[in-house]
Amino acid sequence: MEKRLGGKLEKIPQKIRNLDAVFKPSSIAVIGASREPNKIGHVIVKNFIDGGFGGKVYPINPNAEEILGLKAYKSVLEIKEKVDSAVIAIPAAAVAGALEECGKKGIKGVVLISGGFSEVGNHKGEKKLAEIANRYGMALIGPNCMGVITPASRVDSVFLPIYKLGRPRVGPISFISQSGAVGGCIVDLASRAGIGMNKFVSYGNAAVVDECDLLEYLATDKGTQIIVVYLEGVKDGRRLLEVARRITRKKPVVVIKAGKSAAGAEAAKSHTGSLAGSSEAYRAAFKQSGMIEAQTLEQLFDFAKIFDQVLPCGNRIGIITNGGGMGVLATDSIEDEGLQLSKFSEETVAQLKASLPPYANARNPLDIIGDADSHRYEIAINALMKDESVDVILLIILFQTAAIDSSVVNIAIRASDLQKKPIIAVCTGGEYTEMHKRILESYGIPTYASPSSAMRSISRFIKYAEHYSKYNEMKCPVPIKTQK
Amino acid sequence: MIDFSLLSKYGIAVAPYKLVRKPHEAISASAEIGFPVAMKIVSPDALHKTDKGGVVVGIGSSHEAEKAYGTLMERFKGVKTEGVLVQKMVGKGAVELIIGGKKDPQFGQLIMLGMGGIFVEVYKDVTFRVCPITAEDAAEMISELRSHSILEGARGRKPVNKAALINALISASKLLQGENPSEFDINPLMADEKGCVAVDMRILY
Repeated sequence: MEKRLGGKLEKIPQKIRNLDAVFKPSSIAVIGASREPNKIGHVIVKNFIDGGFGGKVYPINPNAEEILGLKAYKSVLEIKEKVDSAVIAIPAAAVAGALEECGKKGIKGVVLISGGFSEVGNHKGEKKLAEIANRYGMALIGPNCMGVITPASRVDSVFLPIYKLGRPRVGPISFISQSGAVGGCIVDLASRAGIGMNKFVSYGNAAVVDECDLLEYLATDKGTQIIVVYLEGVKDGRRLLEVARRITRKKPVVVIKAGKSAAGAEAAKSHTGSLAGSSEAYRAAFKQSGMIEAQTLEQLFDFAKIFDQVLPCGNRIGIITNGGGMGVLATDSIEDEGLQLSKFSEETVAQLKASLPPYANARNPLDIIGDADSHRYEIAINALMKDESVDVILLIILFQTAAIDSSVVNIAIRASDLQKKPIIAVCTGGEYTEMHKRILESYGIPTYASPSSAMRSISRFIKYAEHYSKYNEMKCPVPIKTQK
Repeated sequence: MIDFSLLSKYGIAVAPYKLVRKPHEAISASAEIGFPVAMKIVSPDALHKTDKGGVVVGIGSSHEAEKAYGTLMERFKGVKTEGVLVQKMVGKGAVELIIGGKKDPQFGQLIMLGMGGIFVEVYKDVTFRVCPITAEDAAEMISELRSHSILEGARGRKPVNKAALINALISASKLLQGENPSEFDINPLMADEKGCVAVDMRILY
């Protein structure tokens, strides 16, 4: 496999190519598989079986004949058939030996769950692992990580029970997380919210495969349309900048950087020195590489999920609402984010006046009034879809009214499926609302609980569209340029 | 340390200056540069000169020049000094900016642009990029400043020469990559409709 990089052909390193074995193996060995229900090695085997993994699973345990109904092996070398991938969850001292055997067996991808390496000062042990993996060209994820989830191929090495940590549906977002704990709870939240995920990786100490390698892999991964990154630190900031710069030309990358202490800036002797902490450096690198920076965990997926919609051709927002106050709040947020309230064309105004009740105001924000039913939403959406002075449709649906029912969701989905203009929904409310939000999300319509959080995401969306349009042809009536 | 020749080497304009060590040198240098001038103490022990009374501005005559030199010598008696810098007073009505640099352990040289002067750390109206920067990066930096409308000519001012400022940023980025200092400041950089001129600088390796 080769790819073009700055005009010259460059080979993708073997460890990155071999990540295929980690994400979509047809056979997997679980080293440290256990009969004890509370052991990590048990949960992993169980998750592969219960999750519906279509390939072969080989439990490895020197003291067991059978685990969860599967024949157990003493070592991977005992298995006659070809094995693509391995998950290792055994004490640190035994890892090097097991890894060496994986190499000998021709296993290409390894997820190493076990801790006890550089995170506790055992740098020597970790170096040894890297040496073994590199000698065989294996893609090694970890150590000290939670592993991977690929919903499409039902690969799931995360050692948390499925009933405790929800698994997301298949979707366009791939998420790489340095922290297993943070990664895990975000996956849980995303799956509850109905957000789809393509791949999840908790990469831990990154002894061999690091964040840049994963980004390189996801850049060319067909299932991944959107990349989300949780970072604590990086090994090589310059490389991150260069890799991300290349990727953001094709796919949006949303990033959060944890650990923004001002340490290091204290001993400064100049003005600049005292103002430049590590967070300024990261922020600068994110901007220069076209990455989208999130400040909070909530924003991480708020920003990412919006990219399931077609990119906007400009920054003019058209608002449809069945609650006047929400329209006002949305208009305020437009101003806060430096976006524009669209001015509807004369045709749109005339058409709306003809088809809406006389007490509805045919202006932006378009208040179709509290007695609006799905049909009225349909009229409004169709009108704004046609109007060339609207780049993004903000659809505010308050589900509390008597006239609204679930059919409004179908109308929104049908409009979104046309892939003509982005449709973003704001639904504020309790259980009944949440249920409809989940349906909208599962059809790729991003939903937000407030106009301000929607608009914050829309502004990132538009900024990225501008960035993207510099490197790619976009199907827009006029070349994208935000109107001032 | 102060090294104006470094700025000139990378094509950053510096307000005309001369380093003097005697009262009569101060007078002749002032006349040569042309009034009004400013005088600044040059001392490795006086980092933030303004705070310690190490800068005298608005010197309009030979007589005032002699007096200012004497004042500075008196104030810094017993402090290790390398002399006094006589410098042309420039930038009446200009915007005071700062261009800075810092070596970051992860990303290497960072460049900073901000609203300059003595209150840089109070206003914190600054923005950063990783070096090297492009003209596009530089233009973005300028528009990212909160006080960016001042540069565009708020309250009847003439807008600053943006092309010159972009050039200064690119030159500073080259300087940072070429010299690889641990910290670097040009503060203030006086920017007006004609261009930008460095008035003070500091570089630490």
